[in-house]
Amino acid sequence: MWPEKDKSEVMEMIKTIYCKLLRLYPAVFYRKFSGEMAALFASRLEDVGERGPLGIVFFITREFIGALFGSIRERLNELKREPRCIGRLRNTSRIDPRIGGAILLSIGFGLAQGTYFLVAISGGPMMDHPMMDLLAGFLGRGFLALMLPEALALVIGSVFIFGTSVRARKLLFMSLMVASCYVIGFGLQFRSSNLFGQFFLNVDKSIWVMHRFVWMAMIGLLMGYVLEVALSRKWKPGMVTLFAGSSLFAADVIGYGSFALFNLVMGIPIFGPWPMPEYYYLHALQAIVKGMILGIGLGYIRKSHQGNVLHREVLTE
Amino acid sequence: MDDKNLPLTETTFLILVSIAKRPIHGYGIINDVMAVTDGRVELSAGTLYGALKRMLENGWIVRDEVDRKKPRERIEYRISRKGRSVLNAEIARLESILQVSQDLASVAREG
Repeated sequence: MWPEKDKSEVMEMIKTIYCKLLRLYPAVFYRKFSGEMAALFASRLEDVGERGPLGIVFFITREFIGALFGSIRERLNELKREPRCIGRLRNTSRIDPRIGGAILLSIGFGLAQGTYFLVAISGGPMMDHPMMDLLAGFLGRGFLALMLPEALALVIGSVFIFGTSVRARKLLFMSLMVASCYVIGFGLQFRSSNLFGQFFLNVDKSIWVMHRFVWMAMIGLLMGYVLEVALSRKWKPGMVTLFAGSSLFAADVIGYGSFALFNLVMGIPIFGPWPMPEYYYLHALQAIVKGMILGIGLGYIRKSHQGNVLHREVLTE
Repeated sequence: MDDKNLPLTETTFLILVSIAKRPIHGYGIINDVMAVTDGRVELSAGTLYGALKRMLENGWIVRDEVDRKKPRERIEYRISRKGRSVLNAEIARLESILQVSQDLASVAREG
């Protein structure tokens, strides 16, 4: 059998591990019950000592699994209950978020368009091939060269727009969610454009443009909804969703509209062969306009929610 | 009595029954439940305190104020009026099920 000294050392070690395991519980639960749980575990461990080594192993296994699943259950319960305030939107910058957001996103989107051109110049056309599979819609070079930099600009822009009063990790999470909506939306748009082209190649190109605008509105609605949930307790889409959707739609319509209008005035074909040097500048222009409008839109949302609390339902740790 | 709390889970029911008898601490509840069920139900500390927390939140039980002289495992729980009414409603529900089962069993025996 076990020497008594070794046995007591092992028992102490097991108790210590159990106490460490209790740290997995939410802080409130831990503060209230961990002392009792640890004491109960120690008492019961003494009792089951009489059942022999196998009994101890069964007991420890059951208790450890119970504590592990219990902690998961408590954490899930914590998420389900009344949302807890994690921060408050305050004025932390001297620059108006609408102006700052517009400047930042214009520069960011402009730079993103720049990287797109750089890749285009060095690697040829950036259009995804219509026959590419679903994954290519997301991982095509155009997507990597344009959408990811734009999403990065969006993350940086929203971190600025939504202020530094919210803890950085939560803010980053929210920005990443918004950027993910943007990236996924764009990936789907690329993909559906390809499918559209594949099946309806003879269709009027203006329908393609409309299709893009509709996608932009959908991306905006999705981004707005994420913001809406983050900014209020409501899960129901409301004004922010509508505003973000319409501002992104307007941004794209105005951005591409100015691009098309300029082409029309200058006698450049609107849907000319790709890549065309004129298009580089015009695309950059539309990206800047788009960034500006999106920045103003997001800044406006932030401004209208001044003083509102951010809740942890979306911004979970 | 608000019926939305019913039916209780077996664990919740057994814990509530144990607390209803007398003010009792966690260690006592586990031993009591084991005794009542002939060792079939052996609660882990995680399960027990998870259930106790929910019962406290629902106002079914009351936790004794922490007495600094008492060791932590001697903190006692006692049933509240609301808890007793929930328990009575659950007992009534179980009795009606038992009655139905007994009627069916006697019909089956006669048939």
